[in-house]
Amino acid sequence: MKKFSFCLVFTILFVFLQSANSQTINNKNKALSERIANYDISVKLDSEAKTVSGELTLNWKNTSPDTLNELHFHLYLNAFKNTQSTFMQESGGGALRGVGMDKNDVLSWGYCQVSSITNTKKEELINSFSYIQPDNKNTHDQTVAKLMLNQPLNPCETIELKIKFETKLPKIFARSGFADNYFLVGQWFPKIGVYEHSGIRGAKNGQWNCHQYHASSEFYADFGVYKVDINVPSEFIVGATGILLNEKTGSEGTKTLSYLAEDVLDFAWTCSPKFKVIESEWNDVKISVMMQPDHLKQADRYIESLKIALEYFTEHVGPYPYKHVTVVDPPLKGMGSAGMEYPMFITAGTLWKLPDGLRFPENVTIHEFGHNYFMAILATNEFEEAWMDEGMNTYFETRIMDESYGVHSAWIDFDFYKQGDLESKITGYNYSEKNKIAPSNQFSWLYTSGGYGMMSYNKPAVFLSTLDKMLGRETMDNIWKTYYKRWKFKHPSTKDFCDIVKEVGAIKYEKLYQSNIKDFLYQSIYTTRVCDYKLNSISNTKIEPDYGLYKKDGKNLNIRKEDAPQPKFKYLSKVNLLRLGEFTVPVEIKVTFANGEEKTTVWDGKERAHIIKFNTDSKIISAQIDPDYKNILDINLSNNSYTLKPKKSGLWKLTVKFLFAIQNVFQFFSAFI
Amino acid sequence: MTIKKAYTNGFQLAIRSPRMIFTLYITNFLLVALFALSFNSALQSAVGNSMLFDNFLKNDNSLVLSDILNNGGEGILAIIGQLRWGLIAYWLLNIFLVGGIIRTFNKQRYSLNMFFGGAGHNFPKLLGLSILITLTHLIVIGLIVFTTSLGIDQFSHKFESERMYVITVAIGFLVYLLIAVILFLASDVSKFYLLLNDSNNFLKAYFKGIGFVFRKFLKIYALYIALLIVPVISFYLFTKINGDIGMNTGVGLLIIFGIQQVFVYIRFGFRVWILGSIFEFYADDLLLNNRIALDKERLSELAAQKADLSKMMIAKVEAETSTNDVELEIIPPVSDLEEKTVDTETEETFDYDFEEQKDSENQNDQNDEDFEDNENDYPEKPVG
Repeated sequence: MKKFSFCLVFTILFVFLQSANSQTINNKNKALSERIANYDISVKLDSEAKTVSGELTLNWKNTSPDTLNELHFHLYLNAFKNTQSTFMQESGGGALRGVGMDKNDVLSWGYCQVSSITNTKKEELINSFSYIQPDNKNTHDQTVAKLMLNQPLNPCETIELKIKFETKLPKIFARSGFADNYFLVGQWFPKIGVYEHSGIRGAKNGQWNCHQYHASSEFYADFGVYKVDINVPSEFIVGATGILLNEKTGSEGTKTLSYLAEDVLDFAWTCSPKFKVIESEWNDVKISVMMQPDHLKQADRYIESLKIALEYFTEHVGPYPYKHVTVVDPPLKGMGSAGMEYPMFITAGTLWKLPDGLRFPENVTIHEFGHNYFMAILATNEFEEAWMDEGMNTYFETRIMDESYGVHSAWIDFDFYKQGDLESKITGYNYSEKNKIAPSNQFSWLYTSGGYGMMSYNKPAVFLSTLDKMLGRETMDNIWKTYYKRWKFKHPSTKDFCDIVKEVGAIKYEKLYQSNIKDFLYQSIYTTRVCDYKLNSISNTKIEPDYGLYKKDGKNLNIRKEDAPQPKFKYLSKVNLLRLGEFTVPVEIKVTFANGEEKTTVWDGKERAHIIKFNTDSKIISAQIDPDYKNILDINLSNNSYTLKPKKSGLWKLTVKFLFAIQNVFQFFSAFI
Repeated sequence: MTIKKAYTNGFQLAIRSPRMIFTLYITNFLLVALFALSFNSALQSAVGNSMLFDNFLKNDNSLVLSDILNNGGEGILAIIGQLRWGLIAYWLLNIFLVGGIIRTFNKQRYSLNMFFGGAGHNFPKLLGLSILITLTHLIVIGLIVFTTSLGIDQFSHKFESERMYVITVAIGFLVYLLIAVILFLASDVSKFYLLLNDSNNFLKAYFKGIGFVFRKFLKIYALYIALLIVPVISFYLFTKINGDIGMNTGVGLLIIFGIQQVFVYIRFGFRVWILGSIFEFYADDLLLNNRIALDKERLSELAAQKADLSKMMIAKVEAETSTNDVELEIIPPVSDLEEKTVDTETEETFDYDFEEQKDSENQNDQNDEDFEDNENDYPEKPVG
C-alpha cells in the first residue's frame, strides 16, 4: 500500500511536469489521462510496396505496484501474414463484415515485423522478443509478442525503448490496409498491451492484458501522447488522429507531416492522392472530412450528422475533450475500412448517389463518432467486454438517430417503407432465432454464429433503452454523466458501470417498480434469458347475490336468490397474465373499462401466471401489458394486449397495401405474355 | 398507317371497351382478393384481439410488421409463399384473356361469349407463344447479365469508384429495356399474326412478329414509346395523390383504396390501348401491303352468298387492295355481321363507316354458319 501511495504521488508529479512541458491540445493545458504509453514515431510510406517503415520510441510507465520482468506487445497486422493466424482461421479464411480477402494477390498479405529493440543503454533486446499466444494454442499466430527485460521494471519507473519496424499493409478487407492508392493505416505499429494491476477491472493479481487479434474482437490500450512524423509522396493528402503541427517538403518528391495527439489510446492515419478535404467547425472543434471525389455531394451528410453527434454527446454524456475530428470517406475498394473508430479519427462510408432515404452515412458517422466516448475516452476492454463499447455506443446511436431523423424513419425513410434505428436493433435482437446464443459479457472472440453482433451491439442497445424508459431520461442521463465523470480516460468494467446504475438509478427504480435494479442488470448482461409476457385473457363475470342457507342470530335462514341483497358490484373482472420468457422485469398493466375508466397497476412479473381481479360495475374491454412500451426487451408485442373490441382499421390498411402490391406484381408479370 | 392514327385508333378501341377492360380488371382483382382476404384472416387470427394494430392506421411502424411476422406470422408467411402459385395462375389466366382481347379487336365489338370463346379458342397457341416470349426475355436478360458481369470483371480494376459499376449496370438495364420493347412489340404482333392466320405455328408467328417490328422499326418503336408516355405520367400522378392523401384515417383508407383500384383499372386500359394501337398498325399494314394474300376468289364466293351486299363488298375489297391510299375506306368484317346476330347478350359495338353495313346485318343471319368456318381466312380490317 505504501509503495502504491508513493507511486500515486510520483504519477501525479510526473503528469503535472509532463503537461507543463508538452504542447497540449486540451482546454485546460493539463494531462487528461495517466499517459502510460507514449509514442514518438517516425515512418515512411512506400506507396508502391505498400509498406510503412520506421522507428518508434516507446515511453512506458509502470503505474502498477508490481515489478515487471516482461512487456507484452500487439503486432496486430501479423493477423494477415498467412492463413494460419488466429484471425484468418476464425474468420473462415479471411473475411470481415462480408468483405473477403483477395488471397490470389501476393500484395494482399500483411505483417508487422520488428527488426530491432534497444533500450536507453543502446542494448539490443530483439533476441528476447518472442511470439506468444495467450488466448489459444495456435503457435502460428504472431499477433502478440513478449519482450523479456534484461532488468526488472520497478513500480513508477518508466522504460524507454527504440523499436525499428516495418509494416506491410494488407489489401483492405478488415479495417486496415490499402486499396490502390488509398491507405487506411490502423493497428499498424508495435503497440504495448495493458498491464492491469490488482484492482483494475476486477483483477485479483497483476497481469498483462494483451490478447491476440481475433476475427470478432477489437482492441484495448492505455492512454498516452503520440508524436508522429509521416513521410508520404508529396501528392498524397493525409489525415490522422491528433492535430497537424507542421508539414515539410522532403526529398525525392515526398513530404513529412508531423502530428500530435494527447491523451489518446491509439493513432491511425489515412492518405490518398484523391481525397477532397472539406472542413467545418463545431464550437472550437475542427472537422475535416476526407471525401472521395464521387461522394463530394454527400460531405454535408457527414458534417451535419457529426455536428449532431458532437452536440448530443456533449449535452448528455460529457464534453468532447479534443480539438479535431477527422472523418474518412473510403472508396468502394476500401470499404473494408469503412465504419471504424479511432481516437479523433473515424471512417464512415457511402455510395455514389445514395438516396437520402437510406441514412447509412449519417448512421455510421454518429456511431463511429460515439466510439470516441465509448472506447476512446471511456476506455473499456473491447476484447473482453465488447458490449460496453459497441452496446453502449449503439444505444446512443439509436437515441441520436431516432431523435434527429424520426423514431419510425431514422434508418430507412421511403414512402413505401420506413424503419427507425432502435426498431432495426429490436428487429436484430428480439426477433432473431439466435437471441439466446450467448450472454452479453462474453469474451468477444468466443462468440460464434453471429453472436458477436447480436450480443455486443443489438441486445445492449435494447436493454439499455429499456432501462432508459423505465428510469426516465433524466435519471438515465445522470447515469451517463456520472459514468463519464468518474471513468473518463480510465478502464471501466461492467461492474463499474453497474455500480453507477445502482447508485444513481436504484432508488427511483425501486420506488417505481418495487423491484431490485440489480436483477435487471444481471439478467440483461450475464444471462441469455429472453423476456416475453402475455396477456392471456380477460373475463367479466356477473356477480351473483349471495343466497342459500345461513345462520343468523341462532336462526337458520334460507335466503332465496330473489330475496338476496344485491351485490355491491356488478362484475368480477379478471385479467389473466402469463410469463412465457425466463427474464423477469416489473411491468405496468393498464386496464380499460367499458365506461371509459382506466386503471394502471404494476406487476413484478415474477410468477409464471398472474391474475388481476377487479370488482366493478363496468366490464373490462381491454388490457395491456406495458402500455407505454417501456419494456423493449419483450420479444413478442402481439401478445401484450387483449381487447374485446379490436380496431380493424390497422389490419385493413395492411390488407389494402398487400392487395395493391400483389395487384402490381401480378400485372407486371402479365407483361411477359 | 401513321403513328398518330394508330395511337388514336388504339385509344378509341380502349375507350370503347370498358366492359372488356373491366373483365381484365375484375379477374385480376378477384384472384388477388383471394390472397388478400386470406392475408386479412391470417392477420385477424394472429393478432385479432391484440391492440398492436390500434395505432397502425395513423402511423406505419416497421416493428409492428416485424413482430407479427415473427410471432404470429406462420399463416401470413404461408400465404406469401403461395403467391408464387398465384402468380403462375395469373400468368396463365392472362394468356387466356389476351385471346379474348384479340378476338374482340378482330370483331370490333365485345360480348362475354365472344370474348371467352376467343380466349378459349386461342389459349393453346398463345400459351406456346407466351412461353417462347418468356424464354426469350430470360435469354436476353441472361446474356445481358453475363456480358455486364464479364465487362465488370475485365475492367473493374480500372473502376475508381462504384459509379462505374452503377453506370455499367444501368447501361445493361437500359439495353434490356430497349430490347424488351422490341420483344414486347414482337410478341404483340405475333399474337395478331397467329390469330389472324389461325395458325398454330407460334414459332413462325414470333419470327414474323420480330421481322415485322424490324421492317417498321422506327415507326412502331416510336409508337410504343408514345404509348408509354401517358402511363408514366399517370403513375407519377398516382404516387403524388397517394402520398398527399395517405391512409391515416378510415376515410383516407377508403379513398386510397378507390384510387388504387382506379389506377389498376386504368392500367388495364393502357394495356388495351397499347394492344389496340399495335393491332391497328399491324392490321392496316397487312391490308395495305398485301402481306397476306387475300383469297379473293373465295371471298367472292362467300360474298356472292350475301345477296345484294356481296357485290358491294367485293367491289370495295378490290378497291382497297388495289390501291395504296392510306385513307382506306373500311369494310365491315363479314364475320362480325354474322356474330352480331348470333350473340343474344348486350354488346359493346363500334361505329361503322357505312350505314349499309347496319342494314345488311339481318341479311347475313342466314349465312352465319358459313362465315363461322371462314372467319379467319382473311384479315378483318379494324375500324380506322
